[in-house]
Amino acid sequence: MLPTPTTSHLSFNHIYEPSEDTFLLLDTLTLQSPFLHSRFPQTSSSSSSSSSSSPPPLVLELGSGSGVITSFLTTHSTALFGHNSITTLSTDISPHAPKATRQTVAANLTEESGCFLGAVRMDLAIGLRSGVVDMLVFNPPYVPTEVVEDGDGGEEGWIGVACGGGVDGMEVTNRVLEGLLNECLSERGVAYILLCERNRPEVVAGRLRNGEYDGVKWVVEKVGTSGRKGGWEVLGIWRVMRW
Amino acid sequence: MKILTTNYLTCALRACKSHPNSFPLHFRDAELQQDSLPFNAAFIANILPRIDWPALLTTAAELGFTNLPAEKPDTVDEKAGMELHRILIETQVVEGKLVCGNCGHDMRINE
Repeated sequence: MLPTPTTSHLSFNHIYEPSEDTFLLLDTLTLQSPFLHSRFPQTSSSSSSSSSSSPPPLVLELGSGSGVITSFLTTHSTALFGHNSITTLSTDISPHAPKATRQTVAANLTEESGCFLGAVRMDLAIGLRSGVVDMLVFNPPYVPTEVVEDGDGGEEGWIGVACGGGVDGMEVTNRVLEGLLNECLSERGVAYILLCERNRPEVVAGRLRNGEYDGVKWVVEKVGTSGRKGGWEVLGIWRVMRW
Repeated sequence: MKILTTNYLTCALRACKSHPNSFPLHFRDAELQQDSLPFNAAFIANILPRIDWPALLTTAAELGFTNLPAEKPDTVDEKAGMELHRILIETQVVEGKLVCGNCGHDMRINE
């Protein structure tokens, strides 16, 4: 397994501390490396623009929080993709997250890392141009709660925003599935989305395959799953793509 | 935020997205920081096909980089590659705003 980026520079008063769900995503992405190698091969530098079909992928993490996932993808680019011609970008609606993400990326960057473009404060991907994202990674607020918090009023503050997903824990994820995914993913794009049992993942997957969210019949596969550990419910990582 | 990032951003307001003035966003009161990062010639050559060149020219000019070629080059020699590396990869905007040319909505940058 690839080393987990260090976050010893962070305090976790306002930021979600990397936990079982985070680590399941890291482990799953590591196991996806053969797929990522073939999906995003490096363009040979001698080829002219007319024959190059695989420019460096743009990897976007929604809700990057501590930045441990974005940092992992950036630092371990060569192991995961077979090359370091990748660009990474993260968004988060929390005012605390972009700085934490930047610090974590910087603390773990090496000469061999991919190109980290930045960490932007943004609601999901609403400020991104359409069709630019080649790989999307999302550990959503998936815990069922009465309401989706806005970070100002809720007693759990921005941690509540990072965790609470409203009805079925799906209110935020649904916003991604109902439009943003189709809007921001490129033709070759692939999304890795974490769902918990109470999100009813098999139903979600079925709806995605049938085009019930946005008219696109997505190719969906569960590519990672956690055991039943401690107080954690079973988590799954779902890979969603056009082909 | 690297300058290359702006090539992927547009206005967050849905009504603006289809308007040509919403891309690229325009820097206001930008404070730049020049990093020193290893030059990856292959990366620069490979990223070229992805770049919206007219938008990059606009963004670069707003930040004072006016020596990029008017047309996107097909290939880059080492000198041109180093210049692109300096602008796209090594230049960070650490303070300022990104403003939509259509509605005026801004996104703050505060690194």
